[in-house]
Amino acid sequence: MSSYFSLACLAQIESAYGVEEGITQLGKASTSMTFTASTSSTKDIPPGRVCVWNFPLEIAFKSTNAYGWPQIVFNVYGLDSFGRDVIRGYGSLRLPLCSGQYEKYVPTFIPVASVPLNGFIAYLAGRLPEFLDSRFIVKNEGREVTRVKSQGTVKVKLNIITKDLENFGYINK
Amino acid sequence: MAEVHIIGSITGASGFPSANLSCKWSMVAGEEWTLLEGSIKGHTQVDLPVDARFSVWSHPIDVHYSTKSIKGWPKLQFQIFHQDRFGRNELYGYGFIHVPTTPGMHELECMTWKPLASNSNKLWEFFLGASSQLRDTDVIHNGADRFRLVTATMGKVHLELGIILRNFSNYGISMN
Repeated sequence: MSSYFSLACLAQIESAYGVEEGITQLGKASTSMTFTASTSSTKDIPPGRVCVWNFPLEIAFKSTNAYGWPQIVFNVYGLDSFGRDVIRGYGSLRLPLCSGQYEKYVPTFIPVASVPLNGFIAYLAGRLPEFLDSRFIVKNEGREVTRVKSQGTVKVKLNIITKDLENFGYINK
Repeated sequence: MAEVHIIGSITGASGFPSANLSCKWSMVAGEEWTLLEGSIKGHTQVDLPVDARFSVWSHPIDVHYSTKSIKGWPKLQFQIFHQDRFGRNELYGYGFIHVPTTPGMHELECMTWKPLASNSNKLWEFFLGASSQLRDTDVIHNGADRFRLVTATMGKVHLELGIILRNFSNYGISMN
């Protein structure tokens, strides 16, 4: 599995430092059935079939308005049985609003073909249904017409620091 | 005026009799509240999950209100629909939660219920997939008019909301 991530901001928030997009390596899943992504305190993820990316994220944002707070978009790709790159999941995560350390499990999903026949043709052609714009999943509009199948989870560890919010009258904790 | 940011997402749903769920959500607030930015209603995707215990919506919420009063603090109301294999949407639950007043990150759960049909309507429901619905959706978040309503308990909606408040201390309101 490999993953393409991008940080999406929908309003006047802009990045002050760091890259907003990146592609991880193609990691093959662990063959050990006891290796697990979850720590002892979380029991969400069953052991086995874990794929490690260990990919660094480092970014700073600045804004005068909290509206449009950044989200991370994950597009997970994998190889199918013929070695072709196909989409395995889309996921989005809203960055936490207050400083601290967070461990987040982001559920991912793929769009389902509108007609079963289309799904079968897509499988043969190795072109599974995809969203035209991957940022579609961080927006509210137009979601009601999509049908998805949720599968898999992306694990993210985040350390968040906020600065000078109080100076503008904001309280976030 | 004091401002409130409600930023987060509707994570998904669990505990419903079957999966293939979608959610129609909207936010209601009192008269003194003005919406500055963001949308206060929407409809999530339909999820056909591999693991039927949890339907994933990861639907974003980002709302910016300004207010003159604490009265009518925003509420989120939900209508859950189940999509059957013919593509028909059947009502699966109603629910509401108050948006937290404490700033910071919150993990929330909203319990849901649905109106029970009379016996003759149940037959109708079974064959036509048309379930009994409320005529007036205000009952979802109003306590006044629920007398004689018979309901069935449905599942939970999961949310993650972050609250940022602005200028509340200028009006003598302490929020932590």
